Amino acid sequence: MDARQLFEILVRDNIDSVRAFVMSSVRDANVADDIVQEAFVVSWKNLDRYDRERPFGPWVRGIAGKLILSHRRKVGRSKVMYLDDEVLGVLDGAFEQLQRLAGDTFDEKLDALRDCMRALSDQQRQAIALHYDDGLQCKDIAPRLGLQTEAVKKHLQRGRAALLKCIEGKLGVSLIEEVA
Amino acid sequence: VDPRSDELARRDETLDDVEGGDALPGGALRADLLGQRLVHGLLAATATARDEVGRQRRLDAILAAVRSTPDADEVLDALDQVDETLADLDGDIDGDIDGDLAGLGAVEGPAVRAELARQRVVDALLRVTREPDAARRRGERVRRIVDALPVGDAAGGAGGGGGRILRLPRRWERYAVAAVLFVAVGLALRALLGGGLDPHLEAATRELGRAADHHFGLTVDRIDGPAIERIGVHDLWLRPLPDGRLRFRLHLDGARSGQQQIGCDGDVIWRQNLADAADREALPIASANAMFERLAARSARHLGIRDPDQFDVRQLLGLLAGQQAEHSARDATIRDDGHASRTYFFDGLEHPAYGRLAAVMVRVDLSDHRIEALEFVRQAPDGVMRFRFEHRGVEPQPASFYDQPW
Repeated sequence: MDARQLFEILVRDNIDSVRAFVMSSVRDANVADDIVQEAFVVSWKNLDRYDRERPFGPWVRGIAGKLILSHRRKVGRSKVMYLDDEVLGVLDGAFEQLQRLAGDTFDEKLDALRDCMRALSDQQRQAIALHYDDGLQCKDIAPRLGLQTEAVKKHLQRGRAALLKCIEGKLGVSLIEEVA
Repeated sequence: VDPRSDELARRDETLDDVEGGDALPGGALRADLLGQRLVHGLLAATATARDEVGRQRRLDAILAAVRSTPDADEVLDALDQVDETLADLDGDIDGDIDGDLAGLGAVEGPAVRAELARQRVVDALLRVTREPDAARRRGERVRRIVDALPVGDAAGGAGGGGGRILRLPRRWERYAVAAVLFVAVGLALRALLGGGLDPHLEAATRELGRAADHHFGLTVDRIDGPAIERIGVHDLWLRPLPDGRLRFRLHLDGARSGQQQIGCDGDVIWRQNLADAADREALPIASANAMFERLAARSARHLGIRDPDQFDVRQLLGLLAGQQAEHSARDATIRDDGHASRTYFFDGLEHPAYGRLAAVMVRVDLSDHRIEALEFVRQAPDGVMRFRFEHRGVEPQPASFYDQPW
């Protein structure tokens, strides 16, 4: 096995978690994929700086975070969610905690999230399905559920809050403390 | 009018600082300033909001939202108010964003800011987990990344000493471990039983060790209290070799991981993704014993071992074959097809350093003396993982059946 093949395995094992981390700050999935790709390419070019005694994923996340900040500076804040070093650190810490979930792969760890879907109300679950599975906007979801757009937003917000609370319950820790 | 507005009005310079991202004053004033910043941008963007009454109403709503509120429900209510405000003012700019996740990022009240981060994390996780055809898209992304890597070795000469970055978690290892452990358990039973125990089980383990191509169905379940969740149903062929080595081929069929083949020809252990020809790997092994030790040690956590660094597979086998393993046999049962079977349980596989290793169940056909089923379980944080092997018969295979396919 040559280095590229070894690196490909590292990419496969870490791409989901790095991509999720990037998507927590970048709405556009195509832009997120570009940043993820760039993060891995940069990590490949800088492997001599990688401390091999430490996990690979957090190192790539750190690179991705810098790329997001750089991207935000280029395209303007309207394209990328609010972000600074502090927020970046908070999000990174949350993803670090998620690694403690049961499962070998990040996808398997997210079985906890899938399992937590059962804890949602029907309307929360429906709103999440229409938004995340079908890609519908809140204003398009509203007539389907017979709700106002604001009510759809509320269901999504409270659904996400409930999911996080459920995951935190499985972990036994809070993923995100108050940000000073 | 808020009595602080005069003070804030004199702080235009500070507002500029906020825009520039410089350090902010703390406490309530910090929240107010950021609220002002948000309102300023929103009002500037909308003509309809420029009447003073509407301006003040929205200002009040946002200032209320950005102040610290320790209770999560209060925070969410505050976010709702901001949502409404943003929707009133600017319904289309973030029309694709359900909860104004982006816009709210500019609000820096501690509790609201933390809630925003929580919402963002879950939003990202949902987007990742609910992506349709995720396995194929993941493969495409990986391929694109690998294609984008500059030609040549990585910095630091990782290629020259490939092992330098070889800290590669392999999810398929646990299946390989399960397969190998299965055989090890089966073979260890012979030592465990010695010559003074049940002849049916002794004969069955001798049959399992015979150089033939045994076909097993492997079922993996997660048991959480009364609930049993089926993780996967797979096929395993294995052939013990006279010199102690092992050939096996394991076909995995997972909803998320797709179809994968794992095999071992006795010298090389390999894995191949049937849906993505480029997703494959192979590792040479010096001997079956070395492979067993390495795989088992590296995947020790999956076997429920508390301290994987101290794990020694020989001690595991020693446990199975030694004095600590209590076993018991249930009475023979007669099945509908007239065959009689007996079930054996091996419990109490505890070790001070390793914790609980496994509970093993073996069911033996008393007529033809073969192992019909073997089960072992491991304790996982969210339940118990159960690996169950059902013997489906001996199916002669060509030697190439176990060879690395490429």
